[in-house]
Amino acid sequence: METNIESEAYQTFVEATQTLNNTELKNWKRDGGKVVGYFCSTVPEEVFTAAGLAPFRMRATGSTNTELSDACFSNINCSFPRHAMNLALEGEFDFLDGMVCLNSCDHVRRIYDNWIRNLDTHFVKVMSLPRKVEQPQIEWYDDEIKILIKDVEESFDVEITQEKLNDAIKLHNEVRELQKEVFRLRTVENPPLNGVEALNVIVAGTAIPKARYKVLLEQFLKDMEGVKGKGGHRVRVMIVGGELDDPEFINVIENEGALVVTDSTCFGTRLFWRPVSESYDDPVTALANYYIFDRPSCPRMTGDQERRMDFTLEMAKEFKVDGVIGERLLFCDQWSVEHYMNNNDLKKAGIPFLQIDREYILSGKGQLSTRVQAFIETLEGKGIKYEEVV
Amino acid sequence: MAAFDGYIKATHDFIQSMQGDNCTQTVHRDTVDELRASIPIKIGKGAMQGIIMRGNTFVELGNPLAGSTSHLLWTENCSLIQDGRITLIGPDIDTAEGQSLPFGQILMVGGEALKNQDHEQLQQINIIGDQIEGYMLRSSAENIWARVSRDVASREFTFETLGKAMIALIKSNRPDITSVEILFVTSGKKDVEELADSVSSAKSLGSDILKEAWKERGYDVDCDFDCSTCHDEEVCDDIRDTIVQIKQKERSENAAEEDIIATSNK
Amino acid sequence: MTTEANTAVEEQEAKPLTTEEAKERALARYKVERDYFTENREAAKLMVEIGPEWQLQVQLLDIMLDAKEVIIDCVENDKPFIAGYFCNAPELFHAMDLPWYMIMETPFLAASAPYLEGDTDASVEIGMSQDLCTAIRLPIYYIETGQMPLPTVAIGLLTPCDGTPMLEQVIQHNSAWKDVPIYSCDPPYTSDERAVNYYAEELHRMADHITEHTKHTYSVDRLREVCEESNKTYSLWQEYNELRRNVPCPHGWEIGGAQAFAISQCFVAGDPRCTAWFEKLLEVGEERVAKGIGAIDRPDWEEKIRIFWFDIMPYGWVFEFMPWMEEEFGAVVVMDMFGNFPYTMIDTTSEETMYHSLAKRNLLDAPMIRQARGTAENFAGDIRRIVEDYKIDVVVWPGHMGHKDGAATVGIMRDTCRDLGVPFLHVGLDLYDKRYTSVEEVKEQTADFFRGMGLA
Repeated sequence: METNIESEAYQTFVEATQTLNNTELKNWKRDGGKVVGYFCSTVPEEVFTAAGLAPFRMRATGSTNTELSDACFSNINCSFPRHAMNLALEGEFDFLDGMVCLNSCDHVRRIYDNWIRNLDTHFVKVMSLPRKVEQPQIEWYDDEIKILIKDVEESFDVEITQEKLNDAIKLHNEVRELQKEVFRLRTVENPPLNGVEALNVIVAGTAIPKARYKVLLEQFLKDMEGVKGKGGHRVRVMIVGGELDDPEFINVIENEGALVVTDSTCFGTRLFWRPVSESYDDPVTALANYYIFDRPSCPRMTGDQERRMDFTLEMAKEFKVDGVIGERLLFCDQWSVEHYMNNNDLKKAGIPFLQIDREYILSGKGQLSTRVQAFIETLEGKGIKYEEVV
Repeated sequence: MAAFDGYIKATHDFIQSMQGDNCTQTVHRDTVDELRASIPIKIGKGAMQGIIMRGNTFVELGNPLAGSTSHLLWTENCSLIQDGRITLIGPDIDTAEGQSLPFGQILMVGGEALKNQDHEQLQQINIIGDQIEGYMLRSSAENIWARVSRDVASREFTFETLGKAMIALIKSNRPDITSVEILFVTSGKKDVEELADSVSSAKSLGSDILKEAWKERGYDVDCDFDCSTCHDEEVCDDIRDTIVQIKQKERSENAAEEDIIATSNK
Repeated sequence: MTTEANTAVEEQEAKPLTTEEAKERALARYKVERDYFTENREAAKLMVEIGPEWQLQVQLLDIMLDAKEVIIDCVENDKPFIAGYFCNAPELFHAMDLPWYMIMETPFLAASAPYLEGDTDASVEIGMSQDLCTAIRLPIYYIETGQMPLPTVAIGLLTPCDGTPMLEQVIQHNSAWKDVPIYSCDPPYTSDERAVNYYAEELHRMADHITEHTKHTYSVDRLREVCEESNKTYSLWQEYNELRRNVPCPHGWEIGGAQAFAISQCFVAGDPRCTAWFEKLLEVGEERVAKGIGAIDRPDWEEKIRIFWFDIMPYGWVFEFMPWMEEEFGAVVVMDMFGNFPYTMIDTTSEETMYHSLAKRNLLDAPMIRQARGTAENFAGDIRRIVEDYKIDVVVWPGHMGHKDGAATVGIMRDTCRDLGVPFLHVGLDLYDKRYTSVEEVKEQTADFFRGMGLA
C-alpha cells in the first residue's frame, strides 16, 4: 500500500498494525514491562495503563488458517475469533501476560471459555458488560471495573490508586484528542491522508504502550504539516461497522476511487471521538459512565440505536461523505440487524448505503471491487445536501 | 493443595458446635469388602434398578423447600480427614416415614496424590446414579435431593448404611482416595442453611480450580465422532503435535531472521 | 402465505405502516395462526382413543387456543396485553392479570405451519441476512411487515444470544411499534449472588414499567398465590422428569419435553390449569412406568438408544425426523434442553424472596438462557448430569445455524462427552427450515453415526 507520508512515526504505526508483537511492545517487554490483551473496545484499558501494564487490543493479523481453533469453533462462527484463537493456540500471543474478554458477542465471548481450557496465560478474566445504557447498568459496570482493578492488583502485585487512574484517563484522553486531530485532517476536500493511512494510525494506538504512542502521534502530526493533499478520488465514503483492523480492506475500496474519509467502527472514531469525563470525583465512575453511556456504542447496546444513527449522521455531515459502506463480518447477528436499520435510516436521510459482508482475512477482492465500483457509480454527481439532513 | 482445607476445618467446627442429643457418630475403618459385606443392600453399578416413584418413597431428603445443600471437599492432606467417620445431625431415616427432611451432605475425601486436575471428576463422586439400591438422587442440578424406597427402609437402611455404602463406592471407584468422612444434617432448614453458609465460597473456589485444570488438557482436531472409539486417534494426536511444532519452528526462525535484519540495520 | 408475504414485503418497502394498518394486518395473521392450531386440535381430538397422551395434546392446544383468543379479544376491544419473551418471569404477568403472548411464538410453536417457508424467504427479502437465526428473523419480519399484534407493553429479553437484543431494537425502531413502551431486563454475564440480586432489581423495574403503562398491578398475596401454584406445577414437572429416567423411557419426543416447557412458561404460568395438565401427565407417565411401556407401545418395538437432544426440538421438520429415529433405530429422545428441569422453586416468604427466586429461575435456570447466557460451564455441567441421571447413550448437539455461542462451545461439549465415554453427534442444521440441511441429509448423518458408534 503506497503512501506519500514521510514520517518515521508513521512507519512505526504501519509496523504495529501489520504485526502483533511489534517492536514497540518488544522494547516494552525488554524493559520489564507487561502486556495485557483485551478483546473489545469496551474493556477499560485505562485500568491497565494505571497498573503500569501495556494494553493490547486483540487482533488476528497475519493469520492464514484456523486449523487448530476448528476444534473449538464451528463453521457458523465468525472468522475473527476463529483466527484469533488459532493464533493463540499457535503461540502467537505468548507475549501476553494477561487476557481480558467480555461478553461482547456470541462468538468472541467464547474465546474466554476456550482460552482457559487450552492456554496457560498468567491472568485471564471475563467481564460482564451490560446490554443497556441506563443508570443501573452504569452502576453495574462501575462494580465490574472495581473488580477488574482488584484482580489486576492481585495478579500483578501492583496498586492502582485513584491518582494513577486519573493520570491514565488524562493520558488516554490526550491521545483521543490527538487522534481526533488526525481525523480532522480528513474533513478537507483533498485530505493529506487516506483511509488506509488513518487506519494504520489508529490500530497502532491499540498495540503500542500509550505514553509512547502519544509521543509518536505528536511527531506524526508535525510530520503531516507538509504532506500534499490526496486528489483523484471520485467520491468520499464513510465506513460503519465493527471489528475492522485490516487496512487492505480499505485499500481495495480506495483503489476503486472512493476515498474513505471517516468511520464509525470499533477500530475507528468510536474509540476516541468522545473523551472520558474528567469531572467526576471518582475515576471509576467516570470510566463506567464513559464505557456504558458517553462513548458511541455498538449494536449490542440495546436502546441506543437512535444515538448510534445520530453519531453516524454527525460523522457523515462533518466529513461530507457521498455514501456509507456498512461492513459486517459474516455470521454477525448484531451488525446484520443494525445494518438493516442503518439502510432504512440512511435511505430516509438521503444517504446511499452499501452493505458488504466479509471474512476477517480478506478474500474475494474481485467481488469487493466490483460492488464498490457499482456503488461509486451510483454516488457520482449526486451530492448530498447535508443542510437538509436532520 | 490446601484450597479446601479451611472448609474441612469449618465443617469439623460445625460438627463440634452441633454435638448433643441429636448427633450420632460412627467410625468404620473396614476394608471395602468388609464394608460391602456389612450393608444390607446391594451397591455398585446397576444396583439401583428402575426409579423410585412417589408412591414407593419412604422418605424424601433435601427438597429445596425443606432445605438442601451438598459439597465435596478434597485434600491431599489425609490427616485432616477422620477416615470412616459418619456423622448424623438430626433424625434418621427409620424415624421419618412419609416425611420430607431437610438434607445437608458434606463429603470430605483425602488422597495424597489428588491434584487440581482431578477436581472436575471428583465432583462427580457426589452423583451416585444407580449405584445404591433403594436410594435415588433426583435429577436436580444444584442441590442434593434424594429418595429412599420403602423396600430398603424395611431392611434397616439408615444414614449409617448410606454412609458406609458411599465410603465403599468411593474407595473402590477411586483407589487414589484413601480417606473418606461424611456429614449428614437433617435437623432443620436453619441448620442446613448454616452448614451451607460455612462452605458457600467452596463452590466458587471450585470453579477457579476447574479453570486451572482445563488449561492443562490441550485441544484436539475436529471430527464428528468420539475419539475414544476412533482408530485414528493416535494419528490425529500426532498431526496436532506436528502442526504445533512446525508453527513454533517457523516462529523461532522468523524471530531469528528479524533479529538478523534488526542487527544488520544498526 | 407466500403471496401475502410478498405483498407485505412490497408494501413495507413502499411506505411504513401506520399503527392502525399494522393492527389490522396483525390481527388477520394472528387469526390464521389460531386457525392452524384449531385444525391441529381437531386432528388431535380424533386420536384421543389411541391413548391418554392425545388427551394431553388436546388440553395443551385448548390452553394455547384460549390464550390466542384472549389476545384477539384484547386487540379487538383495546384491552391491555403484553408481548413478551419466554423467560420474563411470566408469574408476574399472571399476578397482574395481564394476558401476554410470546414474540417468538410462531417459530417456537408453529414452525410446521404451511406458511413458514414463505415467511422465512420473505424475511430475507426485506433485508435480513440469511445467516441470522431463523427464529429471530421471523419475528423481525412479522414486526416490520405489521403482522405481529401491537401490544400495550413490550417486554424484551437481552439474552441468550446476539439476536434477541437486535429483535428488541427493531421493535424500538419500527414506525408502528416505536410508541409501544418496551422494557428489557439486562442479564448479567456472571451467575453469582450479586448477579441474581441485580436481575431481581431488573424484574422490579420491569413490573413498575408494566404497571405504569397498563395501570395493572398485583398484591403481594396474589403474587404469592401465583408463585405457590407455579411451585406446584414445577414440582409435578420434576416428578414427571424422574419417570423419564426409567428404562424404557415412558415417553419419547411427542409429549412431556418441550410441551412441559411451553405450558409452564409460555401460556399459563402459575395457573391451576397448568398444574392440572402436569397432574395428568404424571399420572399417565406413572402408569406407563409401572407397566414397563416405552415411548412406543407396541410389542415389536424396543428402546435401544437413549438420546439427550441438547437444543430446541427441530420444530420445522420434527414430524419427519423424530418418528423415523424411533422406528428405525429405537432411538428415543429421553431428555432435551427444554424438557430438562434445573429450576429453582420460588421462596414465597416475602415479596423480596419471590423476586429473588424468580430472578434466579429466569436468569440461571431457564433453558438456553442457562447454557448460552454466561460462560460455558453449564454446557459441560448439564451434559455430565443428564448423561448420568438419564442413562444417556448419545448426546446430540444439532448445531442450529442460529446458536453461535453453542457453535463456539462444541469443542468443550465434545471433550466432556469423551470424558464420560458417551458419543457426541454434531450435525449443523436449521431447526426451523429443512432447506438449510435437508431432512434426508440429517437422517443419513444420524444413521451413519449410530452405525459408526456401534449403536445400531
